[in-house]
Amino acid sequence: MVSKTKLTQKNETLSTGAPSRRKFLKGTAAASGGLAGILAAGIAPATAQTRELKMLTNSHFVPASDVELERQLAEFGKAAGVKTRLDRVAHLQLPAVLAGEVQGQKGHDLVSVGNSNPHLYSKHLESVDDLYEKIGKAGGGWTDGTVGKGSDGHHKAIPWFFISFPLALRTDLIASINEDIPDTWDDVHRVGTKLKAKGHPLGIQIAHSVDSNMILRGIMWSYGAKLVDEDSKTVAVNSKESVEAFKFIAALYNDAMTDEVLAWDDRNNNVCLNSGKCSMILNPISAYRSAIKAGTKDKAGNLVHHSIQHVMPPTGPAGRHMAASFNNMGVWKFAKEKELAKEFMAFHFAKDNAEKHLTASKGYNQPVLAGNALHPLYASNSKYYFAPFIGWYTHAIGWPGVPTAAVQTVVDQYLLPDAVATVAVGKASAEDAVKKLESQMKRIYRRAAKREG
Amino acid sequence: MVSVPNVDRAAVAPPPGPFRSRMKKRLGPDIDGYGFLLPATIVMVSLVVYPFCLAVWFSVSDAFVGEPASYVGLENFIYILTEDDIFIETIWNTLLFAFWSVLFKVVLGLSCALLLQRILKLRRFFRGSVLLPFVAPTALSTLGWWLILDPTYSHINWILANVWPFSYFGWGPYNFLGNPTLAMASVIFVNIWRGIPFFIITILAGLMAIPDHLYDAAEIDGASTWRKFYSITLPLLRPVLAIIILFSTIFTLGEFNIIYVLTRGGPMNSTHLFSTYSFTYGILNHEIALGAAVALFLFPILVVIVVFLLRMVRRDTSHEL
Repeated sequence: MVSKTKLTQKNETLSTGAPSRRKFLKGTAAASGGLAGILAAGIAPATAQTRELKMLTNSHFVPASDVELERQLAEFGKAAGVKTRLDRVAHLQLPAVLAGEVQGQKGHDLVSVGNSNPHLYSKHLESVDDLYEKIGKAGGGWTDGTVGKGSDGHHKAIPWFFISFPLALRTDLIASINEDIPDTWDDVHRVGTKLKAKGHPLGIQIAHSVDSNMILRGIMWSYGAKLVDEDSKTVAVNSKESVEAFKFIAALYNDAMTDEVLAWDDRNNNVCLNSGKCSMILNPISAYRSAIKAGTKDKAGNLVHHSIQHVMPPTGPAGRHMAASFNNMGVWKFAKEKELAKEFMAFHFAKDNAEKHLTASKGYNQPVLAGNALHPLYASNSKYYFAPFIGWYTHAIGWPGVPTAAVQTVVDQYLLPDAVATVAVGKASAEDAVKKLESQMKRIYRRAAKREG
Repeated sequence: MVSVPNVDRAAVAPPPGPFRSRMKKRLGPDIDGYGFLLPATIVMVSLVVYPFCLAVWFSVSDAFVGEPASYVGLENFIYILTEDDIFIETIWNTLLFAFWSVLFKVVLGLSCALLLQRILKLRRFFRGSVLLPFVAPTALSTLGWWLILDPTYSHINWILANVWPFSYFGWGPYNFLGNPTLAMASVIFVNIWRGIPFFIITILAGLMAIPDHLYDAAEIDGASTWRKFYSITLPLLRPVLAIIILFSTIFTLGEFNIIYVLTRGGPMNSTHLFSTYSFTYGILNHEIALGAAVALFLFPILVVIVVFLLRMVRRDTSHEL
C-alpha cells in the first residue's frame, strides 16, 4: 500500500518538475520561431548541414572496378567538402531499384543507367548536353552518338563504358585444321563446320540471354538487316536482308553448332571455350580472364589462356557490326545534389580518372570516348589488341536509331533470339519468322508510340 | 470465503458515455468484439486488401513507371488476349505446368506418405529427410538443378554416358533445358521435387488421424488392402487432399523462381508462366499495367478452383463419421 506521505511527496516532485504555463509558452514560441526560420530559408543551420552525394550502380563483376569508383567518389567528396556514398545492387536488381526510385521520386543523385534507360527515364533525368559536349571534346569524341539520348533528343546520360563482344577463339584448335583466324562470317561458318566435325563446335547463344540478343543483332546488322529505322520508330525488320541473315544463322547453327546453345545463358559459352569443347565464341574478355584466374589447363597440360585469342567481330556483306551493353551515368531530376553530381561526372570522366577506372576493371570497362580507348592496358597484351578499335564497330541495341524503351522491350522479351531459334530448329521458315517478328515488334512500337503521345 | 452478492451487472457498471451508447445502439451489445477484431482487420486491409486493390487498379489503368496512371477499362486484358501471342502461349504453359505438377505431387505424395506410415525402422530419419527439398531456399536448390540439367555438362548426361549400366544403352545426351518439351518436363520435375514434401507431411498427418478401429473393422469384414484404401483411407483423406491441392495449385500457378533460374521462360517461350511474364512486363519493361493484367489473369481461375475445392471440403466435413 502506498502511504499518504509518499503520495504527497510524489505529487510535489511532479508539480515542481513540470513547466509552468508561462515557461511552456515561452519555450514553444522560441522553438516555433526557430523552426519557421529554418523552413522559410529552406536550409538547415550550418551545424546540422550534411551534404551527401549518393550514387547507385550495379555490382561490377570485377570488384576492383567498384573499389576504384568508390575511391574516386571519396576523393571528390573530400575536395568538395561533402559526404559520398556508393550503393551497389546485383545487376538484375538494378532495373527494379531504378523503377522504385522513379516511382517514389526520391533516392540517389547519380545513377548508372544501362542501354535504353536514358530514353525510358527521359522525363526524370537531367539533360546533360553541355557536359556531354565538354567531355566528348576533351576525350576525342564518342564512338557511338546514339548512346545516352533521351526521347526529347537531348542527352540524358553520359555514356560510361560498354562491354564488347569480340570473337574469342582457340588458336590451337584452329591451327589443328590448318585454318587461319576467321575474319568474315563465312570464314566462321567454314572453320566452325570443320571444327564441329572434330568435336569443337562454335558457340553462339540462340536463347534467352543477354549475349544472344547482342550477337544476333550484330549478325543481322552485318548482313545489312536492321530491326528499326534511323528514326527509332519505324519497324524495318521485314526485309530480304533479314531473311538472308536468318538463313545464315540457321546454317551456322546446323553446321557449326550443337543444340545446347538453345538453352545457354551468358556463362555457358565461357565454360564451353575454356573446357576445350568450343572452338569459338563471341564474348567479352571474361572467358580469357577466368581461364587465367582458374589456371585452366587443356588435356595436354597446357594453360588454356595461352591459346585463347580475341579478334574483331567477323564482317558480313554489309560490314563489321556488333551490339553491346552500354552503361551510362545520369542524374535524377529529383536528386538533391544535381550540380554536385554533374561535377563528379566531369571529375570521373577526366582522362586520368577514366583510365584508372578502366585499369581497375582489368579492361572490361571499354570507353565510349575514342581518346580513352587507346589505353596502355590494351597495348600491353596482344589478346587486347582489338579493344581500342572495336568501339567504332559496336552499336547500342537500337542502332541505327537510339536505344529506346520499345527496343528494350524487344530485347527483354527475347523476340529476336526466339525468332532465330524457330528457324534454326526448323519450326518456321526464315520468311515466316521474320514476318512474325515484325508483327510482334509492331505491336510493341505501336504501344510505345501511343504512350509517348 | 467472500460471498459475491447477486446483483445486476448493468446496475453496477458505470453508465456508458454518449459515444459508446450511440455505437452500442448501432452495432449491438458486442461492440467490444469489434474492437478486438480491429488489429487483425488493419493488418488484413493494409497487407492483403490494399495491395490486391492496387493490383486491380493497375490492371485497368495505363500505369507505367514514373508516369501518372489513368483508367483504361479492360484495354490491357484485350491487348494481351488479342495481340500478344506470347501471352497466349503463356496461358497454355501455365495450365500445363500446374496440371502435371499438382497431379504428380498428389499421386507421389500420397504414395510416399503411405510408405512412410508403414516404415518402422529409421522412421524419424526418413520423415526428416523428405522435408529437405522444402526446407532449402528455392533459389538455392534450383541452382543445384541448374547444374544437374546444364546444357553442356549435365550431370545426368554424364551418368548416362559414363556409368554402367546406363552407358550400355547409349542413351542421351539430352538437352533438358534447350528442347521445349524437355524444358517444360524439367521445370515440372523440379517443381514436383520441391513441392512433394508438403504433400507427404500433410497427407501423413491426415493418415495418422484416421482411427485404427475402422481398419480393424474392415479387416474383420475381410476387406482387401485396396478396398480399405478405397473405402476408408481415400474418403477420410479427402478434406486434407482438397486443402493441399488448393494450396499447391495456388503456389504452382504462381511459380517464379524455378523458371527464372532454369530457363528464363525459354527456349522459345515454352516455359514462360504468368509470374515470369508478368515480371518481364512489370519490372523489365516498366509496363506495370500489363504486368498486373497478366498476373490478375490468374485470379478468376483461382477463384473457381478455390470455390470448387472449398465446397468439396465443406461437403466432406459436414457429416459425422
